[in-house]
Formats: sequence, C-alpha cells, structure tokens
Amino acid sequence: MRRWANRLLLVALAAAFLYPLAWMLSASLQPEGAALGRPPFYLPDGLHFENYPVAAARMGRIHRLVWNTTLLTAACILGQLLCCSLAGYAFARLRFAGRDALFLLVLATMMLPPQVLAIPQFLLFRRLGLVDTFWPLILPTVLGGAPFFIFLFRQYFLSIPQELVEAARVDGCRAWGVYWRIMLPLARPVIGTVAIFTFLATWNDFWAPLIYLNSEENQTLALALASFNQSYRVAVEWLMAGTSMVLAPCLLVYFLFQKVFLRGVRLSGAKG
Amino acid sequence: MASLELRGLRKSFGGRPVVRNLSLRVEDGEFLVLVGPSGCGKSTLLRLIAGLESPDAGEVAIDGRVVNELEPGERDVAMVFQNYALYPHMKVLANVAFPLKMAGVPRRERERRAREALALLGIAELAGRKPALLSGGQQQRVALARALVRRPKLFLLDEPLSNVDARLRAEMRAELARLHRDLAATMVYVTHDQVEAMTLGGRIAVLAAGELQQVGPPLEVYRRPVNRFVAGFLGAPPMNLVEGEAAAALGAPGVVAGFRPEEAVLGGPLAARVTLVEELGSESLVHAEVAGGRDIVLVLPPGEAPSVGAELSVGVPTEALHRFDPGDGRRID
Repeated sequence: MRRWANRLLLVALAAAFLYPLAWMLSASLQPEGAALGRPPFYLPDGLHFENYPVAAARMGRIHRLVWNTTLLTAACILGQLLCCSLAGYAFARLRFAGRDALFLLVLATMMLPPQVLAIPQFLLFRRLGLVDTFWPLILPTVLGGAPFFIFLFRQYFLSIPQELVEAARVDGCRAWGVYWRIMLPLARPVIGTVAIFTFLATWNDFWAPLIYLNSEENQTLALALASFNQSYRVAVEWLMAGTSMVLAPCLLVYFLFQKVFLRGVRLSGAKG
Repeated sequence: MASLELRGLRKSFGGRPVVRNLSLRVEDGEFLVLVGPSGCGKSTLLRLIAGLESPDAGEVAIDGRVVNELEPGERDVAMVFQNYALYPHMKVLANVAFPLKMAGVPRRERERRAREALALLGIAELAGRKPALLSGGQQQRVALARALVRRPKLFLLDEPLSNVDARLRAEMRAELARLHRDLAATMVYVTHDQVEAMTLGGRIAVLAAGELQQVGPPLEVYRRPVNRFVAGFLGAPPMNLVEGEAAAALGAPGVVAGFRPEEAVLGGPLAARVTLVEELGSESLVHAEVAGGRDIVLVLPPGEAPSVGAELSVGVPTEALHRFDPGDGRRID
C-alpha cells in the first residue's frame, strides 16, 4: 500500500515537472496565434511542423548561432575543468600558508549573486575593450571557475588516498605530475559532472550574452530566441518551436549522461 | 645498491617530537627491520628517508650523499606501502612500468623490464588486469614488482604485509626473504609484527617514542635486551617482568627481574596462582599471578598445563634471568 502511495506521489511529481515541457511541444505545433487561446494539448488542426523552419528562419543565421553557442559552451567547459580541477587539487593536496582561509573565501563567494558582480565586471571588460567578444563569458571560467565546482573537485581529491600521491612522488612525479597523471584520471566522475553542469548552464545562458554580446554575428541561440518578442505580442508558437530546438541538445545530454548527472548531485554532498 | 646513513634526525608534528635525534647506519645489501609499537615514529622515519617528510634537523645520506634537499623521485629509492598504493586507473603492466616512464625510459624497454619484474614475482599473467580485479596477495606482489622494476638503491617497505591474511603473510615473508637474497638489495622494513622482525631482518632496530632503543641481530636483541622496553616489547608473549618480593624470590632483589615465558620451569622459588590457561595446540599459555599482584605468562608443553586456580612454584635458570634497573630500566649485567 505504502509502495503504491509512493509511486503515485512520484508520478504526480513527474507529471508536474513534465507539464511545461509537454505544453511547449504542444504549443510549438499549433497554428500561428492559436496556442494561447486554446486548452492545452488541443490540436484540432493537426500538427504544424512548419513552425520549426519558420522559427529557425526568424532566429537568423542558425548555423552561426549554433557555432557561436557550441564554441562558447566548449570553451567554458574546458575553462571550468582546467581552473576548478587545479584549484581543487591545490586546496586538497598542496600545503601552503593560508590554504584553508583562502578556501573559505572561495566558498564565501558562492553567496554573492551574479547580479551583484555584473556591473563591476562589465566595467572591467569594457575597459579591457572586450565587450561584444566571447572573452567576458569565457575568461571568468578560466581565471576563477565556479566555487561550487572547485568545492566538488576538492572534496573528490580529498577522497583519493594520500598513499597514491606519495607513491607517485616516490615514482618520480612532482606536484604537476601527480595532478595530471594520477589525480585527474581518477577524477573522471567529477569531470563528467562539471562538464554536464557547465554545458547546461552555458548553453541555456541568456543573461550574460545579453549583457556582453551586441552584434548579430556574435549572438547565441538563447539570445536569438528573444527575437520572437515583438512590440505588441509574442509569437508563442514560433517561440516554443525555437525553444524546443534550442533545448533539444540539453535534453539529449541529460538523458545520455543521466547517471553522471545524478552522481554529481550525490557528490555535492560528499564528506570532506 | 647502497648504504644508508641517518645522522641526528629530528622531526616534530605540531610541537610533538616524533623522531628524536636518531642516528643509524644501514650497510649495503643489508635487510634492516624497524620495529616498535604504534606511534613510535617508525613510519615517519621511513617517510623521512623517502623524502615524503622533511627533517627538522639532521641528515639522510644514501651512498654517502646527503639527499635532504632531493625530491622523493630523485633519491633513487622505491617504497612499498601498507595499502599497496596501486594506481587504480592503470593496468598492472602500466602500474609496474610507471616509475620507468617517469624516468624517461623508452616504451619498449620499460614494458620489457616491467614484464620481467612481474615474471620474477610469478604474476606475469596479471599484466593486463586492473588492480581492482586482483586479490590482496596479488596486489602486494604488483606493488613489490613496481618497487623493484627500477632497480633502486634502496627499498623501503612500510608494513607491507599487515593487510594480508596469516597464511599469505607467511608465504610473502618467505618471498621477501628470497627477493632480498636474490637481489642483494638494501632494504628497510617497517613492522610492528614480531615474527616478521625476527625472521626477516639481518638486524632489527627497536624504536620507542621516536628514540632508537637497540639495534642488532634479532636473536641478540631477543636474548640480551638493553632495557625494560625492548625486553617487554619483543617476543610473543613478551618477557615477564617482576619486581619486589617476586624478584627477590628469583634471586634478584632490588631490581626488575625478567624471564622469557618459554624459559620458566615448574618447580622453583616463585609462588604463583594460575588465572587463565590458553591451549594453542602446540603449546599451552599459562597466565598466573605472583606476589605484588603482577601477572606472568608461562609457555608449557601441551597437556602439562595446570588448571585455573592451581598454586604453582616457578623457577628460572640463572642464565635465563635478566636484571633491569627499576629507575631508568637499563639492563644490569
């Protein structure tokens, strides 16, 4: 009885989470102007797949958008992996004065909402002449990384037995060799998690590209979706068709790497 | 192979001294066993030799060259760890070849040497496996192969048999003795196991609280312990130590009298009451209480053990009686 109750609860929760996604797909297949005036999932006129090419055309040069977004996402993933794993390794395994205090400081920055940093960061990048380039979006990941990912790497590196590090040192590795040849290959679960989290966050990011990317040729997919907002109305059907297309890689990545993703969620509760 | 010399070595952690002014020389090709209770500083000493810790004072010299400033990888030493420390993401062959890879040995050469080392330990067929798929004994052999593949000047072994079962431990002890003989390697071996210390070492060095108590051939240390600590530490069961009335009864008034459990005989001047009997099959351990409430242990042939509560008279041959100063615990000859 209790098992059935649990299942019922899970089905109800799953339905609640799936509803917006299902509505998006249904709306994307409605004829123009019909999505908001009808009950959800009511499709009397058949499926309007032509919304998809129309949406793609409205978004502009779709190849360029996909390339920009892919480039940006790949650079951010590499940046996060490099910076956060190095910082996590240093905090976990290297001995230096003020290490723990510095780590606390890094953790404390998690409490700063990104909006607080937006203006000083924008002024900094404007002074460097980097506005309307991808650098303001990539550099923060390479030169700092996300504190949460640093924390994740540190916790994982701490869980690797110290004897492995010492064996590697006796075998001829220095700090970099230990990181590159022992720690990093062993940290594959965290690498996967950080890569997926970063992919989802960067691919879907609207806010930072909106601040820094002005010219049409630098636009990303998420920015291009905004072009469906017209002066007096929103082209809901096309917007939903465009959103479905933009979201598809995220869903694909999530379903393919579901296990890694869930392991990452569990890792974030790892002991230290 | 090489000699090792430690000169006035000191190391503290958080103000607590762990190694105190320790000097020791290990000859070329010698098998030295460092033995002592947990926390006595023996593993720290090994780590100081390997370069995994830096001494607060003193020198570590390998083959006459002071190596204090050298990184562990530059000292030409190999170390076998208690938990084997095999790299889980590498196959056995890669694990064994890893020190050679770090030394810049070409791929073909290092694979050949790694396979040779595996063959020497009788585990050539495991080359393609990951460590997680090996038994404890196999992992131990891989760790040994990784240590000997680079033909280091010095082997350091940190309680390498403490995680294997009793049968395998006996087997590995013999294997280590054979390896030492075949390679004529200089080895420093840390253990708290008395049997390993007694059977493996050409010499044993007994440590307590970071200080060297006695160094010498195992039997000499066993037969002529220099102080109460060594007397009470070596041997299973350890030496019986009695004072006061009981010591006087044995003809050693005013000092601490010591005798090995297996050297005591029934019939003698020391009165005792049996409190516990442990039958081990090959022998019986008889625990008894003597004057002053002190416990002693006697080793008797099987079937000769008295029952619990029985009154005994215990004798110790004069040549088997050790005398120690009740103050500083030093041996009195």
